[in-house]
Amino acid sequence: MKLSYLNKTALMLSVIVSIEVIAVQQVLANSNTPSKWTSAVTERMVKLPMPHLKKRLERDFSQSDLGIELTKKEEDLAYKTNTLSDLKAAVQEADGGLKTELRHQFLDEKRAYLEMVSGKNKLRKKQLSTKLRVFKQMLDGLNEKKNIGSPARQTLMKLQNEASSRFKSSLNAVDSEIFQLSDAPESKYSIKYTKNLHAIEKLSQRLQSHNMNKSPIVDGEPISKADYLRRLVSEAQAEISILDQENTILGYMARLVALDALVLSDEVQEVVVTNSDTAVVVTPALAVDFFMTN
Amino acid sequence: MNINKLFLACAIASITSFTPANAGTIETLERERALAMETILNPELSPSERQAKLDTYKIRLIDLERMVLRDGSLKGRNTPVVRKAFENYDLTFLVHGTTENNLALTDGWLAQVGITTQSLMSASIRKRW
Repeated sequence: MKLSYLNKTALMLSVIVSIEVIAVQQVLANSNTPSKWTSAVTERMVKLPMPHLKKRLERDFSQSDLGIELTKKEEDLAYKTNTLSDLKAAVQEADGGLKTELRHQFLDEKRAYLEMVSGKNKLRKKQLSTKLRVFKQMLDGLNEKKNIGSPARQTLMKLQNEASSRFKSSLNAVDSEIFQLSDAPESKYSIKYTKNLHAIEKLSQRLQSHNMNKSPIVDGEPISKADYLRRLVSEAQAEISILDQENTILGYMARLVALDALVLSDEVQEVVVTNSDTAVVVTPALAVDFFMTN
Repeated sequence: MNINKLFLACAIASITSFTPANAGTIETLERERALAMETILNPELSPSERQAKLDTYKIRLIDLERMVLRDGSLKGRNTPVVRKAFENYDLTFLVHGTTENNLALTDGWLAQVGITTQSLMSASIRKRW
Protein backbone atom coordinates (compact mmCIF):
# COMPACT_ATOMS: atom_id res chain seq x y z
CA MET A 1 0.00 0.00 0.00
CA LYS A 2 2.78 2.40 1.02
CA LEU A 3 4.79 1.46 -2.05
CA SER A 4 1.80 2.28 -4.25
CA TYR A 5 1.52 5.75 -2.69
CA LEU A 6 5.23 6.33 -3.17
CA ASN A 7 4.86 5.38 -6.81
CA LYS A 8 2.02 7.81 -7.16
CA THR A 9 4.04 10.57 -5.56
CA ALA A 10 6.84 9.93 -8.00
CA LEU A 11 4.28 9.97 -10.78
CA MET A 12 2.90 13.24 -9.56
CA LEU A 13 6.32 14.77 -9.54
CA SER A 14 6.89 13.63 -13.08
CA VAL A 15 3.52 15.15 -14.05
CA ILE A 16 4.55 18.43 -12.46
CA VAL A 17 7.82 18.41 -14.35
CA SER A 18 6.12 17.64 -17.63
CA ILE A 19 3.50 20.34 -17.05
CA GLU A 20 6.19 22.85 -16.30
CA VAL A 21 7.93 21.87 -19.50
CA ILE A 22 4.70 22.50 -21.39
CA ALA A 23 4.28 25.85 -19.65
CA VAL A 24 7.78 26.83 -20.69
CA GLN A 25 6.98 25.69 -24.20
CA GLN A 26 3.95 27.97 -24.17
CA VAL A 27 6.09 30.93 -23.25
CA LEU A 28 8.85 30.24 -25.71
CA ALA A 29 6.32 29.20 -28.41
CA ASN A 30 8.87 27.15 -30.25
CA SER A 31 7.63 26.12 -33.69
CA ASN A 32 8.80 22.72 -34.78
CA THR A 33 5.60 21.75 -36.56
CA PRO A 34 6.54 20.18 -39.89
CA SER A 35 3.32 20.99 -41.82
CA LYS A 36 3.55 23.85 -44.27
CA TRP A 37 1.30 25.99 -46.42
CA THR A 38 2.95 27.74 -49.30
CA SER A 39 0.03 29.56 -50.79
CA ALA A 40 -0.52 29.04 -54.50
CA VAL A 41 -2.40 32.34 -54.42
CA THR A 42 0.11 35.02 -55.30
CA GLU A 43 0.02 38.78 -55.61
CA ARG A 44 -0.56 38.41 -59.36
CA MET A 45 -4.01 37.10 -58.56
CA VAL A 46 -5.07 40.52 -57.38
CA LYS A 47 -6.65 40.79 -60.83
CA LEU A 48 -9.21 38.17 -59.88
CA PRO A 49 -12.53 39.28 -58.34
CA MET A 50 -11.99 39.91 -54.63
CA PRO A 51 -14.67 37.60 -53.14
CA HIS A 52 -13.40 34.83 -55.41
CA LEU A 53 -9.85 35.48 -54.28
CA LYS A 54 -10.78 35.05 -50.62
CA LYS A 55 -12.61 31.79 -51.34
CA ARG A 56 -9.70 30.59 -53.43
CA LEU A 57 -7.28 31.31 -50.58
CA GLU A 58 -9.45 29.41 -48.09
CA ARG A 59 -9.75 26.45 -50.46
CA ASP A 60 -6.02 26.48 -51.13
CA PHE A 61 -5.34 26.37 -47.39
CA SER A 62 -7.85 23.59 -46.66
CA GLN A 63 -6.13 21.41 -49.29
CA SER A 64 -2.62 22.04 -47.92
CA ASP A 65 -0.76 19.82 -45.40
CA LEU A 66 -1.16 22.54 -42.81
CA GLY A 67 -4.91 22.81 -43.42
CA ILE A 68 -5.42 19.04 -43.21
CA GLU A 69 -3.42 18.86 -39.97
CA LEU A 70 -5.32 21.79 -38.47
CA THR A 71 -8.67 20.15 -39.27
CA LYS A 72 -7.47 16.92 -37.65
CA LYS A 73 -6.26 18.79 -34.56
CA GLU A 74 -9.62 20.56 -34.23
CA GLU A 75 -11.43 17.20 -34.39
CA ASP A 76 -9.06 15.73 -31.78
CA LEU A 77 -9.63 18.77 -29.57
CA ALA A 78 -13.39 18.25 -29.71
CA TYR A 79 -12.91 14.64 -28.52
CA LYS A 80 -10.48 15.77 -25.82
CA THR A 81 -12.99 18.35 -24.54
CA ASN A 82 -15.58 15.57 -24.22
CA THR A 83 -13.07 13.42 -22.31
CA LEU A 84 -12.33 16.30 -19.93
CA SER A 85 -16.03 16.87 -19.36
CA ASP A 86 -16.61 13.16 -18.59
CA LEU A 87 -13.60 13.02 -16.25
CA LYS A 88 -14.71 16.13 -14.39
CA ALA A 89 -18.11 14.56 -13.73
CA ALA A 90 -16.45 11.28 -12.67
CA VAL A 91 -14.12 13.07 -10.21
CA GLN A 92 -17.08 14.80 -8.58
CA GLU A 93 -18.91 11.49 -8.07
CA ALA A 94 -15.93 9.33 -6.97
CA ASP A 95 -14.30 9.15 -3.50
CA GLY A 96 -11.26 7.66 -1.77
CA GLY A 97 -8.43 6.13 -3.77
CA LEU A 98 -10.51 6.12 -6.96
CA LYS A 99 -11.04 9.86 -6.66
CA THR A 100 -7.29 10.45 -6.29
CA GLU A 101 -6.67 8.24 -9.28
CA LEU A 102 -9.31 10.10 -11.34
CA ARG A 103 -7.97 13.49 -10.27
CA HIS A 104 -4.56 12.39 -11.47
CA GLN A 105 -6.03 11.27 -14.75
CA PHE A 106 -7.97 14.55 -15.06
CA LEU A 107 -4.75 16.53 -14.59
CA ASP A 108 -2.99 14.40 -17.15
CA GLU A 109 -5.80 14.96 -19.66
CA LYS A 110 -5.75 18.70 -18.99
CA ARG A 111 -2.02 18.70 -19.73
CA ALA A 112 -2.67 16.82 -22.99
CA TYR A 113 -5.45 19.29 -23.86
CA LEU A 114 -3.14 22.26 -23.36
CA GLU A 115 -0.51 20.60 -25.49
CA MET A 116 -3.05 20.08 -28.27
CA VAL A 117 -4.41 23.63 -28.14
CA SER A 118 -0.86 24.95 -28.19
CA GLY A 119 -0.10 22.85 -31.28
CA LYS A 120 -3.30 23.98 -32.96
CA ASN A 121 -2.53 27.63 -32.26
CA LYS A 122 0.93 27.27 -33.81
CA LEU A 123 -0.63 25.91 -37.00
CA ARG A 124 -3.26 28.64 -36.98
CA LYS A 125 -0.58 31.29 -36.59
CA LYS A 126 1.28 29.87 -39.57
CA GLN A 127 -1.93 30.02 -41.62
CA LEU A 128 -2.66 33.61 -40.60
CA SER A 129 0.92 34.75 -41.22
CA THR A 130 0.83 33.32 -44.75
CA LYS A 131 -2.55 34.95 -45.40
CA LEU A 132 -1.25 38.26 -44.10
CA ARG A 133 1.86 38.05 -46.29
CA VAL A 134 -0.21 37.34 -49.43
CA PHE A 135 -2.65 40.19 -48.73
CA LYS A 136 0.21 42.62 -48.04
CA GLN A 137 1.98 41.65 -51.27
CA MET A 138 -1.25 42.24 -53.18
CA LEU A 139 -1.74 45.60 -51.54
CA ASP A 140 1.86 46.58 -52.35
CA GLY A 141 1.25 45.53 -55.96
CA LEU A 142 -1.82 47.76 -56.16
CA ASN A 143 0.05 50.68 -54.63
CA GLU A 144 2.92 50.22 -57.09
CA LYS A 145 0.43 50.46 -59.95
CA LYS A 146 -0.95 53.67 -58.52
CA ASN A 147 2.52 55.11 -58.08
CA ILE A 148 3.20 56.63 -61.48
CA GLY A 149 6.94 56.97 -60.94
CA SER A 150 9.49 59.63 -61.87
CA PRO A 151 8.61 63.26 -62.69
CA ALA A 152 9.49 62.62 -66.36
CA ARG A 153 7.02 59.73 -66.48
CA GLN A 154 4.41 61.80 -64.71
CA THR A 155 4.84 64.56 -67.31
CA LEU A 156 4.57 62.03 -70.11
CA MET A 157 1.40 60.54 -68.68
CA LYS A 158 -0.08 64.01 -68.27
CA LEU A 159 0.69 64.78 -71.94
CA GLN A 160 -0.76 61.44 -73.01
CA ASN A 161 -3.95 62.06 -71.06
CA GLU A 162 -4.26 65.54 -72.57
CA ALA A 163 -3.67 64.12 -76.08
CA SER A 164 -6.24 61.42 -75.49
CA SER A 165 -8.93 63.81 -74.31
CA ARG A 166 -8.17 66.26 -77.14
CA PHE A 167 -8.38 63.40 -79.64
CA LYS A 168 -11.71 62.20 -78.24
CA SER A 169 -13.22 65.66 -78.30
CA SER A 170 -12.14 66.29 -81.92
CA LEU A 171 -12.88 62.81 -83.27
CA ASN A 172 -16.34 63.53 -84.68
CA ALA A 173 -15.29 66.88 -86.10
CA VAL A 174 -12.33 65.30 -87.90
CA ASP A 175 -14.50 62.48 -89.24
CA SER A 176 -17.10 64.86 -90.66
CA GLU A 177 -14.43 67.13 -92.10
CA ILE A 178 -12.37 64.46 -93.77
CA PHE A 179 -14.79 61.70 -94.71
CA GLN A 180 -18.13 63.41 -95.17
CA LEU A 181 -17.16 66.70 -96.78
CA SER A 182 -14.39 65.37 -98.96
CA ASP A 183 -16.26 62.19 -100.01
CA ALA A 184 -13.21 60.15 -99.13
CA PRO A 185 -14.00 56.50 -98.40
CA GLU A 186 -13.64 55.38 -94.82
CA SER A 187 -10.52 53.25 -94.37
CA LYS A 188 -10.56 49.54 -93.72
CA TYR A 189 -8.95 50.18 -90.32
CA SER A 190 -11.62 52.69 -89.39
CA ILE A 191 -14.49 50.38 -90.42
CA LYS A 192 -13.04 47.38 -88.59
CA TYR A 193 -12.14 49.46 -85.57
CA THR A 194 -15.71 50.77 -85.25
CA LYS A 195 -17.08 47.25 -85.64
CA ASN A 196 -14.70 45.88 -83.01
CA LEU A 197 -15.44 48.80 -80.73
CA HIS A 198 -19.12 47.84 -80.66
CA ALA A 199 -18.15 44.27 -79.78
CA ILE A 200 -15.77 45.53 -77.06
CA GLU A 201 -18.48 47.78 -75.62
CA LYS A 202 -20.93 44.87 -75.49
CA LEU A 203 -18.36 42.61 -73.81
CA SER A 204 -17.36 45.38 -71.44
CA GLN A 205 -21.00 45.87 -70.38
CA ARG A 206 -21.33 42.12 -69.80
CA LEU A 207 -18.09 42.18 -67.78
CA GLN A 208 -19.31 45.07 -65.67
CA SER A 209 -22.57 43.32 -64.87
CA HIS A 210 -21.02 39.90 -64.31
CA ASN A 211 -21.73 38.55 -60.81
CA MET A 212 -18.11 37.56 -60.22
CA ASN A 213 -16.83 40.96 -61.29
CA LYS A 214 -18.94 43.03 -58.94
CA SER A 215 -17.15 45.17 -56.40
CA PRO A 216 -16.98 43.61 -52.96
CA ILE A 217 -19.80 44.92 -50.80
CA VAL A 218 -19.16 45.72 -47.14
CA ASP A 219 -21.96 47.06 -44.95
CA GLY A 220 -24.13 47.44 -48.04
CA GLU A 221 -21.60 49.68 -49.81
CA PRO A 222 -19.38 48.62 -52.72
CA ILE A 223 -15.70 49.20 -51.89
CA SER A 224 -12.51 49.28 -53.95
CA LYS A 225 -10.01 46.43 -54.25
CA ALA A 226 -7.46 48.30 -52.16
CA ASP A 227 -10.00 48.95 -49.40
CA TYR A 228 -11.11 45.33 -49.46
CA LEU A 229 -7.49 44.15 -49.22
CA ARG A 230 -6.79 46.54 -46.36
CA ARG A 231 -9.82 45.07 -44.60
CA LEU A 232 -8.51 41.55 -45.11
CA VAL A 233 -5.07 42.59 -43.81
CA SER A 234 -6.57 44.09 -40.64
CA GLU A 235 -8.82 41.04 -40.16
CA ALA A 236 -5.82 38.70 -40.38
CA GLN A 237 -3.83 40.96 -38.05
CA ALA A 238 -6.71 40.96 -35.54
CA GLU A 239 -6.89 37.17 -35.63
CA ILE A 240 -3.15 36.95 -34.93
CA SER A 241 -3.56 39.30 -31.94
CA ILE A 242 -6.43 37.19 -30.59
CA LEU A 243 -4.30 34.09 -31.05
CA ASP A 244 -1.50 35.68 -29.00
CA GLN A 245 -4.05 36.45 -26.30
CA GLU A 246 -5.24 32.83 -26.40
CA ASN A 247 -1.65 31.73 -25.87
CA THR A 248 -1.52 33.88 -22.73
CA ILE A 249 -4.70 32.14 -21.53
CA LEU A 250 -3.04 28.79 -22.23
CA GLY A 251 -0.03 29.88 -20.17
CA TYR A 252 -2.30 30.66 -17.21
CA MET A 253 -4.08 27.34 -17.67
CA ALA A 254 -0.74 25.50 -17.68
CA ARG A 255 0.28 27.23 -14.43
CA LEU A 256 -3.04 26.30 -12.84
CA VAL A 257 -2.61 22.68 -13.85
CA ALA A 258 0.89 22.73 -12.35
CA LEU A 259 -0.46 24.16 -9.07
CA ASP A 260 -3.29 21.59 -9.02
CA ALA A 261 -0.70 18.86 -9.52
CA LEU A 262 1.29 20.21 -6.55
CA VAL A 263 -1.85 20.18 -4.40
CA LEU A 264 -2.57 16.58 -5.38
CA SER A 265 1.04 15.59 -4.74
CA ASP A 266 0.92 17.19 -1.27
CA GLU A 267 -2.33 15.44 -0.46
CA VAL A 268 -0.91 12.05 -1.44
CA GLN A 269 2.26 12.66 0.58
CA GLU A 270 0.15 13.61 3.61
CA VAL A 271 -1.64 10.25 3.42
CA VAL A 272 1.73 8.48 3.37
CA VAL A 273 2.92 10.45 6.42
CA THR A 274 -0.35 9.79 8.31
CA ASN A 275 -0.14 6.07 7.59
CA SER A 276 3.44 5.93 8.85
CA ASP A 277 2.40 7.70 12.09
CA THR A 278 -0.29 5.10 12.91
CA ALA A 279 1.86 2.08 11.99
CA VAL A 280 2.85 -0.28 14.86
CA VAL A 281 6.46 0.22 15.91
CA VAL A 282 8.24 -3.15 16.23
CA THR A 283 10.37 -3.15 19.39
CA PRO A 284 12.39 -6.07 21.03
CA ALA A 285 9.95 -6.10 23.99
CA LEU A 286 7.11 -7.16 21.69
CA ALA A 287 9.14 -10.18 20.62
CA VAL A 288 9.82 -11.40 24.16
CA ASP A 289 7.18 -14.13 23.87
CA PHE A 290 9.10 -15.71 21.02
CA PHE A 291 12.02 -16.31 23.40
CA MET A 292 10.04 -17.82 26.38
CA THR A 293 9.79 -21.36 25.04
CA ASN A 294 12.20 -23.76 23.41
CA MET B 1 -6.68 19.97 -57.83
CA ASN B 2 -5.01 20.06 -61.26
CA ILE B 3 -8.23 21.15 -62.93
CA ASN B 4 -8.53 23.96 -60.43
CA LYS B 5 -4.95 25.08 -61.14
CA LEU B 6 -5.58 24.93 -64.87
CA PHE B 7 -8.77 26.93 -64.51
CA LEU B 8 -7.01 29.55 -62.45
CA ALA B 9 -4.10 29.80 -64.88
CA CYS B 10 -6.58 30.30 -67.75
CA ALA B 11 -8.46 32.94 -65.78
CA ILE B 12 -5.27 34.89 -65.09
CA ALA B 13 -4.03 34.46 -68.63
CA SER B 14 -7.34 35.72 -70.00
CA ILE B 15 -7.11 38.78 -67.78
CA THR B 16 -3.49 39.60 -68.52
CA SER B 17 -3.14 38.64 -72.18
CA PHE B 18 -5.49 41.00 -73.97
CA THR B 19 -3.37 44.11 -73.44
CA PRO B 20 -2.01 45.11 -76.85
CA ALA B 21 1.77 45.26 -77.14
CA ASN B 22 2.17 47.10 -80.41
CA ALA B 23 5.35 49.12 -79.94
CA GLY B 24 5.83 50.15 -83.57
CA THR B 25 2.83 52.43 -84.04
CA ILE B 26 4.85 55.61 -83.51
CA GLU B 27 7.60 54.50 -85.91
CA THR B 28 5.05 53.71 -88.62
CA LEU B 29 3.36 57.07 -88.13
CA GLU B 30 6.69 58.87 -88.29
CA ARG B 31 7.61 57.09 -91.53
CA GLU B 32 4.34 58.11 -93.18
CA ARG B 33 4.59 61.65 -91.84
CA ALA B 34 8.13 61.96 -93.23
CA LEU B 35 6.80 61.02 -96.70
CA ALA B 36 4.09 63.67 -96.37
CA MET B 37 6.74 66.27 -95.44
CA GLU B 38 8.84 65.20 -98.39
CA THR B 39 5.83 65.77 -100.63
CA ILE B 40 5.26 69.23 -99.17
CA LEU B 41 8.87 70.19 -99.79
CA ASN B 42 9.28 68.51 -103.19
CA PRO B 43 9.83 71.36 -105.74
CA GLU B 44 9.38 69.01 -108.68
CA LEU B 45 5.66 68.51 -108.00
CA SER B 46 2.99 70.78 -109.42
CA PRO B 47 0.46 72.20 -106.90
CA SER B 48 -2.28 69.83 -108.09
CA GLU B 49 0.03 66.82 -107.96
CA ARG B 50 1.14 67.79 -104.49
CA GLN B 51 -2.45 68.19 -103.30
CA ALA B 52 -3.50 64.82 -104.72
CA LYS B 53 -0.58 63.10 -103.02
CA LEU B 54 -1.22 64.87 -99.73
CA ASP B 55 -4.90 63.87 -99.80
CA THR B 56 -3.82 60.23 -100.03
CA TYR B 57 -1.33 60.63 -97.19
CA LYS B 58 -3.95 62.43 -95.12
CA ILE B 59 -6.31 59.43 -95.15
CA ARG B 60 -3.48 57.10 -94.18
CA LEU B 61 -2.15 59.50 -91.53
CA ILE B 62 -5.56 59.73 -89.87
CA ASP B 63 -5.57 55.99 -89.26
CA LEU B 64 -1.94 55.92 -88.12
CA GLU B 65 -2.44 58.85 -85.74
CA ARG B 66 -5.47 57.12 -84.25
CA MET B 67 -3.49 53.90 -83.85
CA VAL B 68 -0.89 55.78 -81.80
CA LEU B 69 -3.48 57.62 -79.72
CA ARG B 70 -5.31 54.39 -78.98
CA ASP B 71 -2.17 52.34 -78.30
CA GLY B 72 -2.43 51.34 -74.65
CA SER B 73 1.11 49.95 -74.58
CA LEU B 74 2.51 53.50 -74.95
CA LYS B 75 0.84 54.65 -71.74
CA GLY B 76 3.60 55.78 -69.38
CA ARG B 77 6.35 54.26 -71.54
CA ASN B 78 9.07 56.74 -70.76
CA THR B 79 11.30 56.38 -73.83
CA PRO B 80 12.74 59.24 -75.95
CA VAL B 81 10.57 58.28 -78.95
CA VAL B 82 7.33 58.27 -76.95
CA ARG B 83 8.27 61.42 -75.02
CA LYS B 84 9.05 63.28 -78.24
CA ALA B 85 5.84 62.07 -79.89
CA PHE B 86 3.62 63.44 -77.15
CA GLU B 87 5.55 66.66 -76.56
CA ASN B 88 3.76 68.43 -79.41
CA TYR B 89 0.30 67.12 -80.29
CA ASP B 90 -0.15 69.42 -83.29
CA LEU B 91 3.11 68.33 -84.87
CA THR B 92 2.86 64.58 -84.24
CA PHE B 93 -0.86 64.23 -84.89
CA LEU B 94 -0.71 66.61 -87.81
CA VAL B 95 -3.98 65.72 -89.56
CA HIS B 96 -6.05 65.81 -86.38
CA GLY B 97 -4.35 69.01 -85.23
CA THR B 98 -4.75 70.87 -88.50
CA THR B 99 -8.35 69.72 -89.04
CA GLU B 100 -9.21 70.81 -85.51
CA ASN B 101 -7.69 74.25 -86.20
CA ASN B 102 -9.22 74.52 -89.69
CA LEU B 103 -5.82 74.67 -91.37
CA ALA B 104 -4.44 72.98 -94.47
CA LEU B 105 -1.92 70.23 -93.81
CA THR B 106 0.97 72.26 -95.21
CA ASP B 107 0.01 75.42 -93.32
CA GLY B 108 -0.35 73.50 -90.08
CA TRP B 109 3.05 71.87 -90.43
CA LEU B 110 4.80 75.10 -91.45
CA ALA B 111 3.23 76.89 -88.47
CA GLN B 112 4.45 74.20 -86.13
CA VAL B 113 8.02 74.43 -87.41
CA GLY B 114 7.87 78.23 -87.09
CA ILE B 115 7.41 79.31 -90.70
CA THR B 116 4.52 81.72 -91.20
CA THR B 117 3.51 83.99 -94.08
CA GLN B 118 4.55 86.96 -91.94
CA SER B 119 7.98 85.52 -91.20
CA LEU B 120 8.50 84.74 -94.87
CA MET B 121 7.40 88.21 -95.98
CA SER B 122 9.66 89.92 -93.47
CA ALA B 123 12.63 87.81 -94.45
CA SER B 124 15.30 89.61 -96.42
CA ILE B 125 17.35 88.14 -99.21
CA ARG B 126 21.01 88.39 -98.46
CA LYS B 127 24.16 86.61 -99.31
CA ARG B 128 25.30 83.91 -96.94
CA TRP B 129 28.96 84.25 -96.02
